[in-house]
Parts: sequence; structure tokens; C-alpha cells
Amino acid sequence: MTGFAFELAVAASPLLNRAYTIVTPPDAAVGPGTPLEHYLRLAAFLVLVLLTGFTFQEATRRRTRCLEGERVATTIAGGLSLLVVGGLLLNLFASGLTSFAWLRFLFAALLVTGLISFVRRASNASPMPRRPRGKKHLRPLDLAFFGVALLLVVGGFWVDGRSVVQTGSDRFLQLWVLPEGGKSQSVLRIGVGNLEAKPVTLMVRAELMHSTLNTWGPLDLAPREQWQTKFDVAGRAGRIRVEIFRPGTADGPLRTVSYTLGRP
Amino acid sequence: MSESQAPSASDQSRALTLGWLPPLTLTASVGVLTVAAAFAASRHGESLAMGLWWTGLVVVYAPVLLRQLQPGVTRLERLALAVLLGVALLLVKVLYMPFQLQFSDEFYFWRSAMDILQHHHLFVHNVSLQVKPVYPALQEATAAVASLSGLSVTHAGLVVIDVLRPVYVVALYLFYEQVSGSTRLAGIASTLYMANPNFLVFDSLYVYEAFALPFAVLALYLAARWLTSEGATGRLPGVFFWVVALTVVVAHHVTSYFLVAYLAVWTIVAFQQRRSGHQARPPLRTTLTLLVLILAWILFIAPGTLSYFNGPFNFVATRLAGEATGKLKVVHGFVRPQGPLAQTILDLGANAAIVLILLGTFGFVWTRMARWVGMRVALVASLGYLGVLALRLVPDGAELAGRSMPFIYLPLSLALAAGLLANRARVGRTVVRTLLPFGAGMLIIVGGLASGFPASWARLPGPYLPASWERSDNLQSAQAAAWVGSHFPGDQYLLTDQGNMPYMAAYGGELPTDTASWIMFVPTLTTELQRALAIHRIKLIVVDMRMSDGLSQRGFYYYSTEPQAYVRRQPLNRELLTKFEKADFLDRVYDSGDIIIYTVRGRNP
Repeated sequence: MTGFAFELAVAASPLLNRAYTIVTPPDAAVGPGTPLEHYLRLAAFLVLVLLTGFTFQEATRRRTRCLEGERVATTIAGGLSLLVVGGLLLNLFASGLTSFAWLRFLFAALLVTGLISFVRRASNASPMPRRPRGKKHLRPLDLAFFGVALLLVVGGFWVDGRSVVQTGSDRFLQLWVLPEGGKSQSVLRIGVGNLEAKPVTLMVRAELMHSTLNTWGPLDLAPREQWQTKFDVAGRAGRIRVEIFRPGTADGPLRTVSYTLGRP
Repeated sequence: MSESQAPSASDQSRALTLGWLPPLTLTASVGVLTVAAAFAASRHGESLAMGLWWTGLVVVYAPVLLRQLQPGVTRLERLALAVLLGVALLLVKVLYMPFQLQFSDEFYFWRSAMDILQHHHLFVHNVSLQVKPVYPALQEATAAVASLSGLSVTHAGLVVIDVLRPVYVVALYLFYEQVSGSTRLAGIASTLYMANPNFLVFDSLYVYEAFALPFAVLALYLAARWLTSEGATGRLPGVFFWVVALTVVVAHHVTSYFLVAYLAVWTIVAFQQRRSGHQARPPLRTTLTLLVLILAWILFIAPGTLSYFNGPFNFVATRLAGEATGKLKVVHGFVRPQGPLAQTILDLGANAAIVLILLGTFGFVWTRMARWVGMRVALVASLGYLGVLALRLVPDGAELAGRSMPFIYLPLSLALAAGLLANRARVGRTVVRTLLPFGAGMLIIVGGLASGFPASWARLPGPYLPASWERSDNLQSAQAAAWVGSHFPGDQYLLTDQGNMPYMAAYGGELPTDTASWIMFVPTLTTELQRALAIHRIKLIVVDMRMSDGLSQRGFYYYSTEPQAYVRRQPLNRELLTKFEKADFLDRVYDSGDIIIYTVRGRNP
């Protein structure tokens, strides 16, 4: 659950969000919605899985005394085990492992195991022995310890996240060229991506045999912004060279790509 | 020794107090904060980072071990301390790589989960994923979380692994308590187990072993409870056990073998116990049923598992045979942990302490725990550690030894815990009686950390290092792979280095191969090389120019038998990397500064 809490913290904290944006992997969210909606749906899903896990262990385990901590472990593990077994079952159907199929399976499992555990409880003359209950002695000082500990852990994440933001030095520009539609030799698609931490202004130049065919720009690109264009090269042959450079400077090209026209 | 049997009603009031848990939570959080400072310092290139890392971890472990060693601690407190330690160590891993996957294997599981999401079916074949798709439990759970929450596969996967941490730690404690009948032994053993070299990072990663282990430990607890409880009936454990055991079988090959092997040892020891006149129930039917389940899975679903294991075992066997016949000269002898000498000394010291405690107290514990069959099983199984140590002496056996640690530590930790308390009972003076087990326990803990995963050069986060696993993590490679994934059809063979390989397999959706990597070490491109690219069906070449700026910490850039592998003292010559510029059958289609991607034209020269 620490991971889940941390994910929530990422969604809530501007600093962590910024760090997240810098180092986030390029895999997009699977479903629609904002990050907060994803986490809310995740919370609902976890409740469903845990509820199913709880009824499953109640329905199938022997009626012996449950030790402290045992039910927590068997509930989480039971829920996840059912997911795994459910996946194997759903795989047998043509529709496979879709979100709707998962939901149907989980609700069906909850219904069946819930009914069985209810019947077992109702029919059992000697109910499952309960572990001894008593008052937990939580003093104000204990709460203070836990509170300070929580603050220190949050502080740890702040220190960590800050260092990620400050040293996330992976700043770069992308340039690419590819034939439009994969194999067409008459149109090229040229793209530029800005993964610097700041806005950049760039010029794009296309050359063939050292003569300029076209230039684009100046292009103002915000961080994480891309620019793409189609370039008609019908009837031309030879190696076309595309480069980006900063306008108004004598510096050489920042990035260079090339594509040979007129060859298979 | 067994000062606190499973809780009785008489001490329930005392059993519900938290004892030293609140202040120890505070010390653990100080340790976590110190480790966070170590990571920040490392990212900024500060030299004190490693010292902070060690300090932080000692501050996390030491107070918990000290408290667990004390008598008179309540069961609730011991269990809560075990959970506290497990969660604090998980936080350390989260701080290392807070937002993303980092270890190379994690990307392959990402790809496998993505395949399930895209195809809506399991077992999607992918040559670069080897046997991972046929052990799909982790990926199934990830796909379920991702599809129902909408989260990315990365975050869904991290949630799945993190949610399992409490299960892992609680199951460990319950298992130890059940087989030893002592809450004190359970507390100490849980703490020592969490010092196994793979616990801190590897078994918190998004990999199938990390998913399977908590279920395996829980299955062992359920089996132990069934076998050792008075009044338990039936020839097989209940449905719940079998669903958990099936999850292990579907999740990870080695973990399922470990589970069945442990039950087999239990069966043998239980038969021996019965011959000696003790009460014991051998789980013969359970062991055989589980074995059939595992074999059926291999036979019908995962036949590739056999050839998958053939590789590393054959490699070690060939090396051994080569040495025995004198045809092969040893290149790597005893593989000490890379890094400072102090870490090597700690590793050796810890191993010496483990062997001394294990062998020195074996007879005493064996006799004292005559009635506890589970304890005797742990003692017998823990002798396997000697075999693991021997494996480290075998050329190239160190990796196999390292991978076996989470399994062998399960019985070993209990044997060591019993050994520590046995020693304590024998030594007279109070101070020594307290300090000796604590000192020995801490030596085992720091030794485990010193020899632990990842290697010392990757223990702390920091700037990019070429072809060096965790330290090769970088956004530029990830974005290049994402660009490949969005502009090319998938499943094309691609030539790239070890650092970019997992990214290209996952986000790129391509098939990185090292079959033609030798091309990288040829100074000029010729028509023969062009022909080789065609024969190996290479469609893309990804060149990371950073390989000419730094050495690979793994010892090689492309493949383990490449020229100058492990002995290279200079980075790759830049001309080897720029030779592709002149080839007229290649197009330089992507440039992000450090990463250049070429497409290969035509089929034959």
C-alpha cells in the first residue's frame, strides 16, 4: 500500500508531479481520464479485490483460530490469487481478458464465495474462534512518534524528488526523417521534438547535394512539444540531409538525419 | 528458547500493547530520510553518499534487531516490527527509482503485460521475452489493474508489487512462528531474512520472482499450519492452499520448484521423525500433487522452460568440465562483491559468521527442538547454504548463487535465529549475552547488504553509465524506443547495446538481438557485413554514442564474449560507432544527440 500512497502523493504534490513529468516513462495511461480519476478507480478496484479475497478465504479456509495479521495476508493474497486464476479462466473464452470480463469474474467470485461463507457461518454451530480482543494502548506520545515519523518519510520523498528535478539532466532535442506512409519515396515526414527543460527556437533545413531545398522556422517549441511537416520530394534522387540549428548563430547543426531517395 | 508460544488468552492485555513500536517507527523513518539524503547526494555527485546510505540502512535495521532479540516482547509488537522493517526497506527501493521501471528485466514484463492488454489473451509468444509470457501471473494482475483503473502499465505493475509487501512480511513471520512455536524466533528470523542480498531491491522489482515469493511463503505457512495443528484433518490441505500454490506455479518457475523442494524435505524429515517415535505428518501427497501440477504446467504450457534453464546450467557445467580436464583456464575465481575492500571483508565476515553459527549450534538446536518437525526441516534445508557458498567458488556460479539467496535464506534465517539464541543461552555474562547475538546479527545483515543486489556501482542512483543496467536508465533511450514503437511495425530484429536493449524490446516493441553484434567491433563496413545484416534480418541499428565516453560497468557493451569483454580499460573507439555514416545501404533516420538510429535498406546486397 505504500506504493499506492506514494502514487497519490505524486498526483497531489506539485514538486513530485514535476519530477514525474521529467522522468516519466513513455507509456501512456491505459484508460481515459485524469490521474486523479485513475487513482479513484484504482481504489475502487482494490476494495473489490480485497472484498473478494476476504470472502474467498472465509469460504475456503478451515475453521481454526485466526492469528493476528493472518487475515490481512490471506485477504490480500486471496484476492490476487483469484485474479490470477480468473485470468486463466477468462483466457479460455474468445473475448479474453477485457475490463468487462474482469469485472464480471470478480463480481461472480464475490457472489459465490460470499454465499458460501455466509452459509458456512450460518450452519456452523461452533463459530470460528476469535482472537482475543482488548484495548490497544495507544498513548498521545505514541501518536506523536508516528506523526513525526510520517513527517520524516515525507521529508525523505521531498529531498529525493528535489534531487531528481535538479539533476534530471537528460535534456535533448530529437530530429527524425522517414518516408511518409512507410515506403513512399515522394513525400518525407520530418519531425522535431523538444525534450529540453526550457522552450527552444530552431530552424530546420533540408539539403540535397549541398544545396538547400527548403527551410522551416524559426520554430518555437515548448518543453515536450513536437513539430512535424510533410516534405514533397517527388522526382528527386540522392541522399537528402535534414538538420536543425539555432537561428542567428554560427554554430553547426544540432542534429542531423539523412535519407536516400530513389533507391529501394 | 521458545519463550513465547503462540499467544495465549492470559496475556492478551499485554499482547495488545505496542511497546517500542512507536519510537522504533521514528528511528526507521530517520533511516529512510538518511537514505533519501544519500540518493540525493549521489545524484549530485557527493562523495559522502555511500556513507549516508550505509548509515541509513543500519539505522533502519539495528534497533529492530535489538528489540527482536529481547525477551518479553509481545507478539503484536514483534509482528508490527517485522512489517515496519519490510515497509521501510520497500520505501528505500521506491526512493531509488520512484516513478519508473529501472532494472532491465522489468521492461520485459512491461512488454508482456502490454501484450496481454493488446491481445486480451495470455501466452502471447515473443522471442525476446523468453519464458516470461508462459508464467503470466504478475502480468495478469497488472493487466487487470491497468485495464480497470486506467493507470499506465508501469504504475499498475508497481502497485501490484507494492501491495504484496505486507503479505510477504506477515507470511514470513507467521511461517517462522508456526514452525518454531516461538514469537521471539519468528521476530529475529524475519529480521535476518530481510537482510538476504536480494530482499532490498531485487525482490521489490517488477519481476515474476518478486510476485511469486510472497505466495510461496504464504503457501508454506498454510502447509505448516495444516501439518502441525492439532486436530487438523484430511490428506491434503484445503482449497485456499491450492489456489495460492497454483498462483506460485503460474507465477514463477524457480519459486514453484523451491516450494515443492521444501515440502519434499519436510516429507523426508517427517518420516525420519516418525521412525524416532515423534509425532509428525509427512506431506507426501501434497508434495506429489504439487509436483504433478508443476510438471503439467511445464509440459502443456511452458515447455520452453527446460531449454531456458539449459543455458546457465550448461554454461557452468561446461566451465567446470573444461577446468577439470585442463582444457579451460579459470578466468573468474571466487567472485567477490565489486567495490571497496571493506565491503568484501564484510561479505566474507558475514559468511564466516553464518557458517560458524549454523554448524556450531546445529546439534544443540536439533536436540532442543526435537518435537518441532518444522524447525528440524528448516535446519536440514539451511545446510543448502553451504552448497550455495560452494557455488560461489565455481567459475560463473556467483550469479546462480546470488539468485538462490531469497530461497535458501528462508530456512537459514530461522536456523540462524535459533543459533543466536542458543549461543546466548550458553554464554554467561549479561553484556556479552546481549551484545554477541546482536553483533553477529548485524554482521550478517551488513554482509548481506554488501553482497546484495544491485552491484556496488549501481547501489546509488546517479549519472548515466553505458550498458550498465540500473545506471543505464535514461529518458533519452526511453524516448528513442518510444519513437521506434510509434514509427515502425513491431517484432523487427534490431541491433543495439545492453543499455538500450530493454527499452527497445518494451517501448519499441522490437526484437533486440545480439546475434550480429560482432558487426559493431568491425572497423569498416563491407558488403559482407551488409550480407550479415540481411542474413540476421536486422532492420534497425541503434547506436548510443555514450559508449565512447565511458566503460560499461558490467564488463561488456553488447555481449559477454565480445572483444575485450571484462578486461577493457578504454571506452569504445568512436570510429566504431560512426562507421555507419558512410554506408549507402543505411539511412540515418533519427538523431537525439547521443542516440542515432539507422534503418537498413534492401534485403541483399
